[in-house]
Amino acid sequence: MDLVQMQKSLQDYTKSLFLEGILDSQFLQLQQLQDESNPDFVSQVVTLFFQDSDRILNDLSLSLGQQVVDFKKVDPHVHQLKGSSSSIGAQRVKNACVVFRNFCEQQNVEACHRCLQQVKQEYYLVKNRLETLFKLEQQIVASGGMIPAVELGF
Amino acid sequence: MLTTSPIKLINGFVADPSNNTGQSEIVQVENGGYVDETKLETSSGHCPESAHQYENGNGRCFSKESESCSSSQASSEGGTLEMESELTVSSQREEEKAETNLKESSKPKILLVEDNKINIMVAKSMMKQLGHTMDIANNGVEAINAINRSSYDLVLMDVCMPVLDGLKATRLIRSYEESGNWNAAIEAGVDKEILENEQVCVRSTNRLPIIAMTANTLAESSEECYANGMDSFISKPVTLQKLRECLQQYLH
Repeated sequence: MDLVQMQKSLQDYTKSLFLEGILDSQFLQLQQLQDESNPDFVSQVVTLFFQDSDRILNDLSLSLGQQVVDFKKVDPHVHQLKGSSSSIGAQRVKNACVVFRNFCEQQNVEACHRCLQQVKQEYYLVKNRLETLFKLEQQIVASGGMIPAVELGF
Repeated sequence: MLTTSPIKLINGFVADPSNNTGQSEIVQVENGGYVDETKLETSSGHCPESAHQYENGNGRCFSKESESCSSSQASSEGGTLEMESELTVSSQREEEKAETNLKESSKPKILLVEDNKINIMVAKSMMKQLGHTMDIANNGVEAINAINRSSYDLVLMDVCMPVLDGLKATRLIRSYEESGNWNAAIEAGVDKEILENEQVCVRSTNRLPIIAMTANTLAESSEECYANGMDSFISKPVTLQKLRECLQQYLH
């Protein structure tokens, strides 16, 4: 695949993530912060998000797996994940967290288990997609090209 | 919500009139934020719970991203950015030194109070692009200690935080402004020794602008923010535009 094709693929791929609602406009905010003085900003923030989220999801699995679930431990984790996913534009993760928090408030253990599964699903999806996105970008840069401008005319 | 007009990122870089190579030094407020937790009223330890129903207030909020930038924006930011020389304050008496810091320090001192690492990273980067540096505190207690130590021009206060949340911290800061002492904070469990040993010599008599960063849930409603002494709020997620408007409004 030549450079132009790769750049087009990246653009189409990025657009699809927005169209599917996996990413929202907050992700564009991150891209606006990336410049010559901060060339890896997006991948840095996203990597931090992955690390933090992996830890949170692990803690959540542990907390919800207890005989007696302590919602005072569960809710702050979900709140944190909701905040960070919102900050990077991981829309579906954020939405799943909102639902999760409602059930935390109701102290509904069974529903929370389902919510955790849903959050994990959405998280692994966005993680997978963003990792693919970064790989595409790396391929372009390795071929001597620039990351193309993101144009969303819809 | 996607913007309707095309956004052009040239090599991931937005051509912005306010773009600059501002300094990006960040000071982390490291004191562990020790507090006697038996004295704190926090229930979950994180979010304040509210049983009240609040009406939507007409707040001075910065959540509207559709508002266009004022024409004075570029010049005000340009004015801030051009003042790059750091004044050296060497052998002056303490009162003079503090006074000099207050009067002649050209760079606005901004404090970000936030516990989420990702949010901090994004906000820092946004502020850098707007030409400002920020000190960081990770909870309400660290914020109080920071404010006790230095004179800030603006505080961005996350509402939900562990140890001491943003609403309570703001109440305590307002109490300090009104009374001139930190008794309320000490009563609430903030470490007395840190407050008394590190008090700044000259306290600014101006009201410290404290802007809430809220997720806009019931417990973090705008009414709740104003009731606890906040001047305004930014709804999360924080964007460049929201921060820019906030700085325009509260930094002179």
